[in-house]
Amino acid sequence: MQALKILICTDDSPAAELAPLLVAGLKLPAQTEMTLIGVREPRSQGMNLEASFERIAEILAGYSIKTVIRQGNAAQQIIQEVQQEGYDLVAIGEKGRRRGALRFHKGSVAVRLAHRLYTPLLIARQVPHTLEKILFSTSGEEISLDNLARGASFVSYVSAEIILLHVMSQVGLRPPHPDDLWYSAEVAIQRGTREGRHLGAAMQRMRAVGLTGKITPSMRNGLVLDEVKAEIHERQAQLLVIGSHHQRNRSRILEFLLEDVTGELIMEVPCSVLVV
Amino acid sequence: MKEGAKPLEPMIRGTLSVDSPASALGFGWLGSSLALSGSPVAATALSLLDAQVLSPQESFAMVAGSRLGAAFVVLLVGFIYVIRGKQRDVSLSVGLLSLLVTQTIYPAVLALGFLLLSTKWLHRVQVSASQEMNSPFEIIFGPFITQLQQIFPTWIFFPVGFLIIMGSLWLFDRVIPDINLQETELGLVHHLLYRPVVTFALGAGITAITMSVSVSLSLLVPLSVRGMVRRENVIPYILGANITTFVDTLVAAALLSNPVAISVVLVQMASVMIVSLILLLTSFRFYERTLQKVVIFLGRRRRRIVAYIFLILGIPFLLLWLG
Repeated sequence: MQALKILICTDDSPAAELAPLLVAGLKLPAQTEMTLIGVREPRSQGMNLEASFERIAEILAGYSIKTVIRQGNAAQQIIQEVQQEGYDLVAIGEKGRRRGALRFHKGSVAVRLAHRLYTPLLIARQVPHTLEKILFSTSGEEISLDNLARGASFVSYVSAEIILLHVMSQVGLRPPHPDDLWYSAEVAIQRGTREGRHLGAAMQRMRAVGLTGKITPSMRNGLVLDEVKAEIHERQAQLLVIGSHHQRNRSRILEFLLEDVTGELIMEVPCSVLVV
Repeated sequence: MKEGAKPLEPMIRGTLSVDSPASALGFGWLGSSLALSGSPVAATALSLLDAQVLSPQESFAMVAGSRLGAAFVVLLVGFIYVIRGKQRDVSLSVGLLSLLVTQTIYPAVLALGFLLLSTKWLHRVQVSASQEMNSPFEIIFGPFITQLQQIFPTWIFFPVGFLIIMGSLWLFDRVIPDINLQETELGLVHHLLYRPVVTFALGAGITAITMSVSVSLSLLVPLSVRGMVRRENVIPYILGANITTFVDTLVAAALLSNPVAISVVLVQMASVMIVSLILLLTSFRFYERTLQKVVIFLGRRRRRIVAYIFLILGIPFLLLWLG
């Protein structure tokens, strides 16, 4: 099996070191290649990337590490690096979710990367000592199965509890409504409803890529954004895994028209996020 | 109806006390709740304006009342299922949302509408003509009505006209093909157009064609993985639909050949659009969550729904009494 190639971004800030901490917490195989990238932006001063690289190397002791320094706009340079070298995962640390008026400022590097990268992106926030609970959110569609499998492959080396969540935000226009709109995950799987079959298939795909921890299926009813946040809060999930809004061969206009639950979740959840 | 409206002025002004915008609002609200439709009541408001029974402000308020009452119909259908024992929150959520959206935006719509009606800007956009505009319907039906006026009392034309309008609109709804698509997975389509502003435009666009909020809302059904409407779509869609649902009222105003009537409807549409867009662009998520919480709160107990229904039926009576 080919070794994973991980790109870890740093700007010498305290938040930047959350990314290598989380990557270390994933307990990836020893042959994984870690590349540390720092970008000197025109207006940035006092950035000591070399010192940051040394600190990160201590965190990731035992892995082979390369370093890259680029000049220019951070997001653009990271994207170019990914396109040129082909990484399996990009990791970046972030202080925390934006509140109030700052929520309207979508200028953070992490958010811009999420909208531009096809490569899975790990946004590290509030990194725990040990990853114990990981929430996978699925939209219930066929493409989600691939996303879930891809996300599961990154966390299959830790023995964390996995919560597999699907949010039913549909409502009927006119009664009578099918009762299975309100089933729990277990009942839905048992009765073979559309969502139940999806959850069952998802668990099988996740096991197939090596996930051995306990998988708890869950279904909630309500607004997708609110229910995912509520599930994270109730389950005390430390990492959220979601599918990317940005897809290959999709025009910019179409991406604008399509819903961007991923982008909204990145902005609003307090925990780390893995976008696959 | 216009002919029948003139002799009804003493009854409307005196007996029913419709002599202010507040009472006109209550009158329109009550009328459409009882008629289970807003469009004939809105058309009535314009006829009363044309017959100079109502002022432009009163007519505007009555048209607004017609929307508040019309939104009640969607809830009523759901409530019937509640009585039959179906799950409360499932049966009522869309109806409640539809009603709450209309009720929450209309105070601002009314305030803005009255402001627009009172400014000189409105007078600048009124249609002016060098000669009297004659509606083709007046040319065709005028002689016929004149003959009937010699047989029947004039006031009878008002309820008869109302029934004819109701029948026409019912017929119009029947003529529109039933576009209930089968549940189907349409690939990306069920993710398409789900941003609030885009869904708002979709609601406005489709309702402009169907001229019925309930029909156009049904078209959302296939745009969902499960063949049902998603909660995230309903509110912006209703906001958009609330604008172009006035298209048939605009047609009614045009048929009256009364520029003031046309202005009243245009001000209504513009006010709803401005308020809705401000809401969508500034505080939509907060608004959406708040309404969802209210729907869940009301839907949990049957007595809360009953109390709410009594409240929304009582408000128009209160407006008539206080106005």
